[in-house]
Amino acid sequence: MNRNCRKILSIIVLLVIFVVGATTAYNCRGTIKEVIETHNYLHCKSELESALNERFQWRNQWINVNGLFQRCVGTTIVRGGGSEYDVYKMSNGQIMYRLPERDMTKYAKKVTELDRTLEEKGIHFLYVQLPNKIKDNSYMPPGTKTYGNLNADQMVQLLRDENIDLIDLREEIEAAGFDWSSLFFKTDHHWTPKTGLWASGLIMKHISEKYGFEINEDYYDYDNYKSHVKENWMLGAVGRRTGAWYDGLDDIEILEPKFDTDFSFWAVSDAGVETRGGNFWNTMYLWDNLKTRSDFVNNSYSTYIGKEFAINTIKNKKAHNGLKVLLIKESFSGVLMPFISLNSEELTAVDLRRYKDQSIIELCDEMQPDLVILAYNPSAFSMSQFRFIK
Amino acid sequence: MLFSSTVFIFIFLPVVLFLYYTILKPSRTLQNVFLFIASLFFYAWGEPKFVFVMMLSIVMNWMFGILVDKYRDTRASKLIIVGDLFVNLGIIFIFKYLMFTMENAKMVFSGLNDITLPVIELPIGISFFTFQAISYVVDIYRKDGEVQKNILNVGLYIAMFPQLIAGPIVRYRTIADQIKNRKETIDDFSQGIVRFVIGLSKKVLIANNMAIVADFAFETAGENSMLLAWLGAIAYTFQIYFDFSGYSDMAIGLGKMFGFHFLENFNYPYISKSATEFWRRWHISLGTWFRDYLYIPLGGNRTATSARHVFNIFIVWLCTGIWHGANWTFICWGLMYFCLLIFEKYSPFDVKDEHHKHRIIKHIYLLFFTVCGWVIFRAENLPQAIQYYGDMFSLDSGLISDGFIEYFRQYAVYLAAATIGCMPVVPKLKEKFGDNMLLNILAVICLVILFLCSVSFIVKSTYNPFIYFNF
Repeated sequence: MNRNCRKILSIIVLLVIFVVGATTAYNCRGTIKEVIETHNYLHCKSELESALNERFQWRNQWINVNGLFQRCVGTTIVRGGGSEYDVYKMSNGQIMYRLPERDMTKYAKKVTELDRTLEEKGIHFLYVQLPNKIKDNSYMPPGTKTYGNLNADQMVQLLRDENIDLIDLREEIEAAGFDWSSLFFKTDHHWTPKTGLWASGLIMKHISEKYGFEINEDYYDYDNYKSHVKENWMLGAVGRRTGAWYDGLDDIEILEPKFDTDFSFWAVSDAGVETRGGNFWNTMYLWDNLKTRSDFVNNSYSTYIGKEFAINTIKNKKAHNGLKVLLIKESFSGVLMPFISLNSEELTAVDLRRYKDQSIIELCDEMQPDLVILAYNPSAFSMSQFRFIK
Repeated sequence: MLFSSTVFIFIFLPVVLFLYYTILKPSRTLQNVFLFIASLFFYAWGEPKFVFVMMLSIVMNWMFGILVDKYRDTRASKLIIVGDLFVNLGIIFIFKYLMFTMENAKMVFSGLNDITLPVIELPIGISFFTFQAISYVVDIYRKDGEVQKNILNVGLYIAMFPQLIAGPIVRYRTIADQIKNRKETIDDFSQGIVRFVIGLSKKVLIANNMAIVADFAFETAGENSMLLAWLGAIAYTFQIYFDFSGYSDMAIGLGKMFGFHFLENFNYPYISKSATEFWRRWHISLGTWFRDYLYIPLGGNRTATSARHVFNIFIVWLCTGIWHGANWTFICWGLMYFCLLIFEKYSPFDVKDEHHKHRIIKHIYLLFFTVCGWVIFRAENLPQAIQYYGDMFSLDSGLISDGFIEYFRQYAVYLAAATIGCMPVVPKLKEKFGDNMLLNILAVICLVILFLCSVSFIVKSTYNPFIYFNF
């Protein structure tokens, strides 16, 4: 390289180093000030380094650059510093995490115990097996395997052996002849709101037929909703690891009922108690999560319901079927709750990753639901989410 | 502090460059003092407590340097050199080899079993700065460099951050004059930046990605299919080269930014056709250090008998192995090269092959032993190395596996880039096309892209170890 070219390169590199360095230091001024004020010089290294990494100037754009590089070199497994953080690009173009193989016996045992205990109390129990985004290993990069739906197969079989009432939504998807990929976001591990609407309809129909609660099936007809689509807007939780330039952005659809609705909403999160009320549009959505395109912090999917609350209750003032439901949920239920609540007088949803106050049984004793629904996707199979009794 | 970290590239380096070339510009002494303090901070960032070990080394060697100079050409000077070696090797022995020695002694002498030693942590880069410290005193003794009366200059030579923790081992005579009389130029500075960017890219883009493959294969030693075992070994071969030569490039580049000229440490070692040639191209600063401070003092090849020559070579390679770490794996690796060098020197191998008839065979021979050598070097212990060799040379776990398909498929581009990067492609292109403007512009664009991509990997905080920090 000749002298002039070297000089040009040097200027570019120095410019990047000095501008990014100075602005990052400015972004970290709070942490630096804290270290100086507390004289914590000997132990400040990890604090400063983590502040530097979190508040690195244009951090998300750098991750986008990395995604573009990975895309250009044809990487289909983007390493994330640990196998649970690796992102796999499937043959259908979607991206996803890989799930390890698990023995489901202990989980099935916990569910059976819950079912039997609720039965003694005269409360119905329904297990809903939600699908994993990766239908089977034929979609995975060559040489790799994921066990989401295989674990779920095991779970369903074990629960069927125990005669537990269940809906396997994966079987329903197959029966309906849907294209599996179209039911999920490309850059997020969740299913789409439209899929959530369809699944809610199936669950409520099952409840109606099995337990005799009256429901309005029209609420699950897609044509009864006005669709608002933000195109090329959402960067899902998986996509945030690879950047938007690796696999692009998703559309996010907001569904507005064409019929009258009236709700009250109460929830508990780390920030405290939150209340909302009014029609579906004003109750079920947290619009802050939809403000920014390609948002690395807030997931647009969480526009539905808002946050992953420890516990939340939705009361439907227009429902008069007497149905009181306790839903043991994870994030997939974000797009189930709004639609299940359309046919429930009261829906309480509990997330066992966050709710530690009482066991499910204690909660049932207190609220006396007609029905407990356990709706888990295969990535929720961890013991912390199966603490039902004590 | 890692060179390939956000804190170094975006905070430490710009601050040091800014102060060095602005406020401190008028005074060379102030610049040197500042570089020394910055170097201590650089070291203390990762190892706050061990900075005192390094400072002790600086003080002791500064004193030995003054004493050697004062008693030059007297009997006392030899005693001072012995004392210096005793102190330096004593420090390195305590921190690096004492536990290993005791563990092995306990196996032989059961009476020692009652002795328990506390776990001694290894100060980062101790082998590098200790060897530089020895070089300082010995070069004064040999009149290859002037004594430094000012301890800060000795400190700067031993602790200078570009080469402090992973080399190259800079000889005192190389930079003795530069400490006071170096000249920073825009040309050197820009060459330094180019070199730094190349080194960073080698480390972040190639070595770190090859490390993922190698780590996977070595973690599952004993269960790998044959192809996966070979893939892992080849990946490690690339990892260690791009990791270490990348670091050396960054060190040389940083040195140039501050007006220092360090000697080259690598010269495309994997194109060698013999172990002798390999070691003239690999970790040159270590090879020449052992040559000048051990092999030649032992008598080198000017010995009365072949047996003595073999013994000299044996000692050098035993020490080379031990230098890399307190583990039998390193000793075996060093002795493997001893065997290869003896074979090459005392067999018809080294007969002049004027028509290069055996060039390809010799190249395959060297690569085969180099790759196999890195297996034992990388293994945690000898049983793991044996297990790994079992994977490479038997079909017990099959020829091919899912792991091989996954990792080969994912890292094929990096493997191809590493293969090309190991060969002198750029010098050949320069030779062929000369100072071609288009190629120059292309090179700038490529290096900017590589720099931005490297930063993106660093920001994303993926896998980022430096192998030679352990030595």
